[in-house]
Amino acid sequence: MEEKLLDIIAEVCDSDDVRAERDVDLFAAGLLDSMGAIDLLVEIEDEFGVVIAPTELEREDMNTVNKIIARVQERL
Amino acid sequence: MSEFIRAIDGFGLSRPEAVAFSNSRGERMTFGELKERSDAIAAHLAQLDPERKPVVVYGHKSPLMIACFLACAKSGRAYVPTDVIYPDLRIADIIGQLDSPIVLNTSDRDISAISDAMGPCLGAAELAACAPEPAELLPESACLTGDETFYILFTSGSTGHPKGVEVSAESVDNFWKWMLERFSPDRTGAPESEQRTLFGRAPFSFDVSLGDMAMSIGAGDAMYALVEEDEDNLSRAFDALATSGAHAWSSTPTFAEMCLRDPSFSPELLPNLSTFILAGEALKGETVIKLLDRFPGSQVINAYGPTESTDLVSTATITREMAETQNPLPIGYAKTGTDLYVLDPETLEPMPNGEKGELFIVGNTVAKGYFGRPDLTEAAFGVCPEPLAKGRRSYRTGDAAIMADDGCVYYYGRLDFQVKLHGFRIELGEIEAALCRLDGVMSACVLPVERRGTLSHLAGYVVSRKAPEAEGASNLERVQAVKDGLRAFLPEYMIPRKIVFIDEMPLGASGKVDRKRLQELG
Repeated sequence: MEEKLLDIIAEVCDSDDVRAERDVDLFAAGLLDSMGAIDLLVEIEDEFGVVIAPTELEREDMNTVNKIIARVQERL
Repeated sequence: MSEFIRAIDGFGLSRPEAVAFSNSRGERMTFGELKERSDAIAAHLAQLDPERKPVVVYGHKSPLMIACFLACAKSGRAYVPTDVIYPDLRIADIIGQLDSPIVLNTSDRDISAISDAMGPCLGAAELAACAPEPAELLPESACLTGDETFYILFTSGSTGHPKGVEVSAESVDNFWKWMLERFSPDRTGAPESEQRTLFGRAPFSFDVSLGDMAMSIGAGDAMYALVEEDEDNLSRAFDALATSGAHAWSSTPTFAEMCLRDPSFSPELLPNLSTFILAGEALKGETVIKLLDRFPGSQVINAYGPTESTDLVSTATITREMAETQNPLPIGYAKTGTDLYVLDPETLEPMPNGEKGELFIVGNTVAKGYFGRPDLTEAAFGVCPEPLAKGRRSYRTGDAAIMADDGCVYYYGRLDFQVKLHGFRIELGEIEAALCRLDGVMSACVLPVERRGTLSHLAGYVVSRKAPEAEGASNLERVQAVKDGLRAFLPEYMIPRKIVFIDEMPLGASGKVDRKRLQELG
């Protein structure tokens, strides 16, 4: 699951660096914006069936790769 | 006197207690206050500098900003709207293109040091407090009128500097009258008790905000805005929108799409909402279907228009059937006072209906040109052949389009290197120029990247000398350094999400960058 999720994050952020740098703030790094974050949630829903409404999360809840992995694992 | 301004002033007398504008920060201004404040600032401007030079208004979606726009017009000065989302160097660039302008700073930060070229800089407290004697208030005859420049709106410029589109008072009047006719035909003379609210998403430094003001404030209705910090956080945005009571919605398709991704975006949140006006980028059928599913009985309007023709020049109401069967969706029919032509971009001969060409706009809302740039103006304005233009102003859009037999127009993207990313108009050349200003960068090229058939983000390809201090830096750190460098010149929406370092720029046979090969580099 983690590998697949990393693929999705790398694809949406259009960066392979995120596979290794899992605590980088993706918004501050310009790798995610509001629309990108929502694209990510859509991909996660399509792949894992995990539905996370955009209004459920604050930016700080999903601004790093590790936090995104943790959020998805909670819901699986 | 500008008829648009006269109408808003009229509401200040006939419905002084009605809200003209409010935002998610809790700031609001009634029509009465708007009139009083703009009259006072106008008089203050006249005392400060008798020369009627363009005035820079800086801030972010505040009621005071709107009062400043009106004040400039009432004192016979063009206003230049600038938003806090722009970096200081970009504001300084704009100020530098003007003639030591007065700066009206409605924000809470001190910007007096960002440029040596600015005239007097007035802060929000001063603007909110200035109170001239009744005898000092300006007569109606001081107000802008006719071909005098109403505002100068700076937009992305391909040479690396923003360029200012100059729109006349007459164009604003013509545009406003059509907006009322198109969107608020039943609003003229509507009683104050039936006042409605428009949610307008665009920052005031974009032309769409003028349309938002025209159809709301210009009709005696209210306008509501989300400030940036709330827009970035959907749960805060929704909490704020729930209090707006909005009847109509004006945004980019991307913003509507973002809201739709959350199930709580529904009539429960916005019970009065019945009209969506979407502009700024191509609208997709699936967005329309989702809106119609979520808000049954609502009306979805696809609208089109460049800054160079004030704002919108065409609209189409998109039915479910159109959304299900047509791709692309039409951008609609020309507004009153405007003719649209699809011409061969080389010969300027009209293309037969159904064939692709370049869209030309002729009519009573076409801008005067680019401020202080006769070269750029000559290339884009007045190019339409005279038999079609018939003495009217014309603008060549650079947009590819097809016209159907009934005059309905379909948009097919750009003919040049301009892109619309989430509704933001961006010249890729401006980002490339900014990249080349960074230390060690020798050449750069920026490409749009699509995901699932939609423009998603930008990728910058950079040939740079590796700085000695970059030895040992990770790729991400090098990418970060480039992005941080760009943030000095460019607003966040122009920063490429992806930065790729390459050894040399692939060139085609003509010596131009081979964009296809670049794309293949990933």
